[in-house]
Amino acid sequence: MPNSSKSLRVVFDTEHNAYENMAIDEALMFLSPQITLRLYFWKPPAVSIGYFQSMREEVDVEKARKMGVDLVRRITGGGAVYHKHEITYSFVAPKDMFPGSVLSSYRKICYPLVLTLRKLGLHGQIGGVNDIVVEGKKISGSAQTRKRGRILQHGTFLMDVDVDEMFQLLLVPSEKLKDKMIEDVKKRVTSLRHLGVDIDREELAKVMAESFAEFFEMEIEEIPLTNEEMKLAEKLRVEKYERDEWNFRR
Amino acid sequence: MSATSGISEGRIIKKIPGGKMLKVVVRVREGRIIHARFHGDYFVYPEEVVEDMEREICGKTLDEAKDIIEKYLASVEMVGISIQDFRDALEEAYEKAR
Repeated sequence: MPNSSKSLRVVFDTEHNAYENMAIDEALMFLSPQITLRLYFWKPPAVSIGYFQSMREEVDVEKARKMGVDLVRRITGGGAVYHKHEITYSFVAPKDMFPGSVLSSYRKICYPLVLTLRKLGLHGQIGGVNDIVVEGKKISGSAQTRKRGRILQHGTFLMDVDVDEMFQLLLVPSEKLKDKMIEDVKKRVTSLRHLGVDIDREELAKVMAESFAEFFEMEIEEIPLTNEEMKLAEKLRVEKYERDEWNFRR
Repeated sequence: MSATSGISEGRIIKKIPGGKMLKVVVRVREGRIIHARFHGDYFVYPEEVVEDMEREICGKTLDEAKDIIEKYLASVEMVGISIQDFRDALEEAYEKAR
């Protein structure tokens, strides 16, 4: 997919807590002057919920606090995600770069993850609206928002997954059916480790960046977060993402 | 359904074809909706439209509320959910509250 600006800014980021991670993504959406890919990790582990979800309906809040798991609401829709053994991408671009439907833009922005899997010797494909599946099992899910003429899409890419641990935190509609649900999810979710791929996370970040650059026909330009971006992210962390008014507002 | 001081609450969870979930909570007093929330893992652009819609539904009858859903969502882009899903789910939750 050719692009006229030819340069893809890549921010190879490190570990942050949930509030910092969501604040940095939003800051990049508003301030990054060019098409940007950020690759990052979560420490401590966290559950993020979609914009329209209710924290208390999705998550065992007390258990999460005891387990030291951060809880945060995203500015993007979609479902609750347990972030632990994963690499996360965020992609920021002008809306004009994707003139079609939201759905078609999802698929274009997800596609580099299919290329990433291919480079790792796996056959992935887009499944459902916003997922990537390998052998019919989900390995990645993405969510997108659009504001002020820009798109932010972020998503997970599972390096490992512990479904039992995930369901200690996520609430299910029926306790009676919980065991069955857990078994179903185990059958429907996979990770690089489960698929026999052993790669360290920094190396994986490089492969992902190369895949985005290749797909959008751009050159990688490594540019870390600027002072201005970090300042806005700090403000968003303190005034929005760390606050119950935001995380528990629905 | 629960009832205190003339207010009754209805909650439903609806699985949308394609896999998304819609969870609706409504509180009703004397036939009018006084609180409505559409929780779920769906996508609506821009997101704030859903909250504006929820606010406007307050104080309305079910039929008025269904028209409000139509008005707010007719011109926005949605992924994984339709206007009819919102209308049907509201109606089901409302009926549970009665």
